Amino acid sequence: MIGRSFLVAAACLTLVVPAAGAQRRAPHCTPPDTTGEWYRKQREWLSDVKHDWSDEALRNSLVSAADLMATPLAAQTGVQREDSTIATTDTAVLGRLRTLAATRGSTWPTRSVVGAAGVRAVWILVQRDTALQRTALHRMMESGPDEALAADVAVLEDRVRLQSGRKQVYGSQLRTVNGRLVPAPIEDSAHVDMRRDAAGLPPLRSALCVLR
Amino acid sequence: MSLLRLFGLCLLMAPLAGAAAQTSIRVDLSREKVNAEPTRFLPMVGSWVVASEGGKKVVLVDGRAWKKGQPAGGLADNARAIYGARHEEFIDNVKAFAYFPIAVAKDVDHFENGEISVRFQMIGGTLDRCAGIMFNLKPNGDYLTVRFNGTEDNLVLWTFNNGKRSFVKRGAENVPLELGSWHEIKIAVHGTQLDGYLDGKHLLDYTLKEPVTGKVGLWSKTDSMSEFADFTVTPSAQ
Repeated sequence: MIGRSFLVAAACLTLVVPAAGAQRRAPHCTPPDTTGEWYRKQREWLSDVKHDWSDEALRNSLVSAADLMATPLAAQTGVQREDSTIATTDTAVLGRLRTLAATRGSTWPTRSVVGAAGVRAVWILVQRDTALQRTALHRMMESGPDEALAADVAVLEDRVRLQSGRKQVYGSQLRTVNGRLVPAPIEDSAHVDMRRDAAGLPPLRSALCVLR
Repeated sequence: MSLLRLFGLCLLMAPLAGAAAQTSIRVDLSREKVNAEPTRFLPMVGSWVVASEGGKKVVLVDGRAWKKGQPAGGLADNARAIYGARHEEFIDNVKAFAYFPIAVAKDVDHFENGEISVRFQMIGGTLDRCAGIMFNLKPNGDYLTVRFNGTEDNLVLWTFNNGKRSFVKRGAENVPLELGSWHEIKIAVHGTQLDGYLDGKHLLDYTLKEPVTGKVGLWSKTDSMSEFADFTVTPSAQ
């Protein structure tokens, strides 16, 4: 059973916010602009229509394990609860990712291997395993912007940094303080929106509107 | 020997002692235009602009505009400015390593021995957060670089030959640096001996295959966003 809270609050954070939810938002809270460049770029990257992939079987097992079968890939707004996690019964696919991570020179499931849906599935699945997250982050950074979505790299890096006791750099990891969701400590917070823009993420303030 | 004569002798010998350490060249950015390409550093690869940081002018490499295999817009003119008739060979090789933004210090004609230092701060970059000193730049585009990478927390010496990058040596220890804070990389070259420092700490020593001789400048990688200031070259006899 997939952890619904994770799916809703973190990974494939949908931008189709129900109207009722919008009414509950605090005043002056403007959600991310879905006509912006960040959104267009992500949608383009996440579309599997124009790209091919080489390992259909692995893609299918990843997409199935991450429960991405039914829903189209949503754009990444770059905020999630730092304690969000996912439960999956498919330990075989996680085992395969662990083996790939541990094998030097192995072909990591990037976009040309498993397509955008497969890459997003990897991103979701690795979040339940700290060691796997580190390797996935390293492999995603190495593979470059055509193979890994910069927005996913950014959120995963924040997660890894917080786990190692460092501050996050994109403001993507939120924690509850006095009943309110706030970003965990950010390094060089003055440039956080510039970094988010470079990673194809909307400004932090607007992204927070979606979760608050 | 009287004290007076000894003092006089010391005065006479002072210039000789100073001959080994020649005058420093510090690249002056004060007359540069903010938001324009720097004129004291000639961009060959990547997007380089002058920025204002706390009222001081700095050079910013802006990786947001980075695209694989894309040299700087003014590559041909800048290559011609520093290598004249040999610029076409330089351009061919630069295009091969257009993955790595570089900008050549215009005021430093040639560097063989001495020290080069630069202050830098990393601001962003999703794939990389790098800042480095490029040296030994040849007319064919080959060069060496000592760089810090904020995604790996290390200082590393790399070579670039015929457009191919090769790892040479990693610094003795990893040093995590905070984004948005200023730090200093320094290299010291004496013959074939190369030493690298981060914030004054000696992290790297290596014996090069041959002595250094070539142009110098700033180095970055892919989508890094880093600022540079106080690029200083202090030549020495050896």
